[in-house]
Amino acid sequence: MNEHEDRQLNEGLDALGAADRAAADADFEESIAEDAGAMAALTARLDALATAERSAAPDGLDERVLHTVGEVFAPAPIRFVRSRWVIAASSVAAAAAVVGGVWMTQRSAPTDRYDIELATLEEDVEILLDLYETDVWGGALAEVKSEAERVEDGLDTPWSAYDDVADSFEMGASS
Amino acid sequence: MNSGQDAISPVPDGGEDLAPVLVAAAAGDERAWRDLVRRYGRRVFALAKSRLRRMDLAEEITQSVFATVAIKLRDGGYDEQGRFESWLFRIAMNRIRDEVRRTTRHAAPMDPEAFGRVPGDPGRDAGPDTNELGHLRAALDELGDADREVIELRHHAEMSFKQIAEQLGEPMGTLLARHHRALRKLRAILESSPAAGGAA
Repeated sequence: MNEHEDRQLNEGLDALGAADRAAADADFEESIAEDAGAMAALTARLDALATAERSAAPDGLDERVLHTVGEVFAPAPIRFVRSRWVIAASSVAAAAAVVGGVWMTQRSAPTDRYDIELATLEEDVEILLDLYETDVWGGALAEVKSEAERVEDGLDTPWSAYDDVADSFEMGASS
Repeated sequence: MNSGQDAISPVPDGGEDLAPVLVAAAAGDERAWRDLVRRYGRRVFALAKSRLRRMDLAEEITQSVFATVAIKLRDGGYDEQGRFESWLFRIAMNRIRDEVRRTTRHAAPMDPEAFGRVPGDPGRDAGPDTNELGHLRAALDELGDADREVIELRHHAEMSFKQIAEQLGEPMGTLLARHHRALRKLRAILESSPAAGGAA
């Protein structure tokens, strides 16, 4: 291949390369435009979906939220609206307290001391039953746990007294 | 809550400075809270609803978020001046993540939505999605958490990219690239879905 042919070949390759590059650029620009269009369409669909989700908010949502917020600023303890967990926890605690109280009244002779303990238990039960209708936000959970612990602590003394009485019965029977 | 006629009047609308509203809200001003709930209540709800697909849980989370915000404002726990929206939606996202984790731990053996609406169960979202938005919902479900989060914060919570970048602690460029990548993935999911008819 002489110099002239070599130059012609290079020029031809350059021209071919330029044409390929131009075609590739055109394809790329077209794909970018398509991509932008598709992305814009998708964005519009997402906005429509989000609008639908916001519109699906149940009636009275704002008022219920305001009520909850109002409870935060209320001078009384916060009362909430729903909670399966709280209901379950307070039910167990309340049931334990009631069973313990009833058992004590049936199995041991009432004394002033027992009356005091049972009165305390009744208060705890009242509080727990109160919480039964309340909800979970914020500190209610901690409140329930605390109340459950108080009930448990409150039962310690009656249980201990019951054991003493039972022991004395056993001792009396054996002697 | 007090009626707040003296604390703030009138409550500003739209994108005006929130600072006086927040000051009044911290004092329990009812009008200020009405304003905040009007601005953000449904956005929080939509964010939760999109992820959890249950009306009752979405409402529960919305109430929980506002209760938390109220407690923090009341107790002086809000110190992110000028970034209230990012703060509020960060609380919302945390609540939603907690709930997702909880429901994952106690996963039902089947997707109730796939079996249609349960009559008389108002907490349950609509049944099988057969419309266009339904396909989009289903496609969102297939996205990874990180991609989905960016899309939902942008579209459902209507946050600006700047706010999302602040909330996620990422540079704006990274956030924009993440959003674009998430959209591409969503588009690919939609195109590969026969129900969507390949239309993105």
